Amino acid sequence: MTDLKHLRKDFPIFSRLIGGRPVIYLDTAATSLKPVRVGEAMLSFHRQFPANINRGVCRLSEEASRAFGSARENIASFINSPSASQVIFTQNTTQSINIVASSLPRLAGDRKTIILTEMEHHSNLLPWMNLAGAGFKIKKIPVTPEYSLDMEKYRSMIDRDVAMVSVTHVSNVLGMINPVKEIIGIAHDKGAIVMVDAAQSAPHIPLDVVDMGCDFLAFSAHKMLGPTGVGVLYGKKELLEALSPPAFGGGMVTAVSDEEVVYNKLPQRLEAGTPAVESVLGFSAAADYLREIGFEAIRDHQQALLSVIYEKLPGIPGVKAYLPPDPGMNTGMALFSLSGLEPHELSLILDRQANICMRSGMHCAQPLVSSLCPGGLCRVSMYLYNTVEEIEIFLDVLKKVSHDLG
Amino acid sequence: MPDFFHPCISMNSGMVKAAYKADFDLEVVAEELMNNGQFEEVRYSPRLGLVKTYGEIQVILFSNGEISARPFYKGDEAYDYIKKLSVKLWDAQICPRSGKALKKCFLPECGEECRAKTGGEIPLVDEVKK
Repeated sequence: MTDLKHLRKDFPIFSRLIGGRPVIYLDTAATSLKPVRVGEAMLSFHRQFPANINRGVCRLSEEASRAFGSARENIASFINSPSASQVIFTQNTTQSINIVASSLPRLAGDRKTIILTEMEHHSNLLPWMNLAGAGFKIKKIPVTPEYSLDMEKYRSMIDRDVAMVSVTHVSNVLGMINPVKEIIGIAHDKGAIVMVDAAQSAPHIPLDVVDMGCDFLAFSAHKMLGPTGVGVLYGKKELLEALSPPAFGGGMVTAVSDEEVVYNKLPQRLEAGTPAVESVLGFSAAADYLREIGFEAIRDHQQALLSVIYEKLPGIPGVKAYLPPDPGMNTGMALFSLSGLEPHELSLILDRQANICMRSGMHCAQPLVSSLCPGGLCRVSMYLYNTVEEIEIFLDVLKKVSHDLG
Repeated sequence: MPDFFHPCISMNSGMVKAAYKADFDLEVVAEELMNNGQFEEVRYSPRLGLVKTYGEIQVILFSNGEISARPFYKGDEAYDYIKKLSVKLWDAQICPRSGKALKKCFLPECGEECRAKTGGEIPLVDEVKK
């Protein structure tokens, strides 16, 4: 096992005691903790060059613009984007997907079918459902009893009426890694555009948009140790240029008169208004942090935590665990229920008992979760800062709750 | 005043939970709730430090005095429920003078004579206020 315990000192929340006990944070899939370095990068903007970017000629503005541009280059390199101009900063994954969805009617031509999967987060479901009024219909790739996508069914679904295939790279409910490269290849053979929701994969899997071949890719900083309020929309250049700007205003134009507007080139064309400069700097620092640790080390660590979960969670009386059979395809999540307790109650009890933070309910993926358990489920999601000891405490408390209340 | 939360949607979509804090003797709480007849089942776990009810409305009382009750359609309904519940649990509230549940504090065996020593005033914990 790659021991990442030494990293815990980078996360200030672990020095906070609640009721004399430290926090056990098992809710990374909702949002990750942030290392000190990310906060420092954000503060550097306020302390050293707190000026607007790409507007002024004063020294502070130049420094801020340079830092912002470097951050974009860094994020582009993080996903192996051919160009930094293909990295559009948005608010989050949700906004990135919405930007593409709102332009689908002009990208689609005569095609009227959208293919999603049964395991989508609402962020990759509602923007497409909202296009029903424009004549689009949605088909979903089914999830098998082993929690993988039914690829045979997918092959039978796709035809030349499919305008868009939009899939999650990693399920936010099950942690399951989907074969996006294969999905993209099949879609491209039929001329469909493919969008990948990488919100849950960015913290766990090295992203390479060239190798993957996706047309669009979206992810958020806050799931990968970065700040809230900033995300990315990556796209192939010609497709990004075909998108409608999500907003109009300062920074996206090169000339404006009463008669004419000349829009700026990418990426500014799609980034009207002052961006979240400090959040972008924090985002870049988070990407550096992850690169320094290395995704292989993160994966090894996750697998060690998962091995404890896979060995012990299903055996606790009253627990029903929904785990992908191959832990190697799981990015560190465990979905489960305990008979006799509703998920919110179980979550509350574990929190008050041992400061265990986990998610309960529908996980913003109601179609999938309600099909597994209509009342909702609990989810623990682990990351590089969790320890085997924490997982053992979680399992021990769960066992006690099961015995006394389940 | 109770706080109201809207947790992630579940089978109780759109409903709220109320949370309130008061000092209770959990053992007495469990007795009172078991005798109350309002709940399908009441369980007391000393090692987990909580009392939990089962039924349409689910209440959890923690040893730190926190009460959680859910689900309710709206905040007012949750407030009324918590208020009525706190009245039902009056005997289980901790006397701030003797540190015992009022039910035990009022017994002659207590010996602290809190009522007499406070001039007949019963040392109530804070009333649930809106």
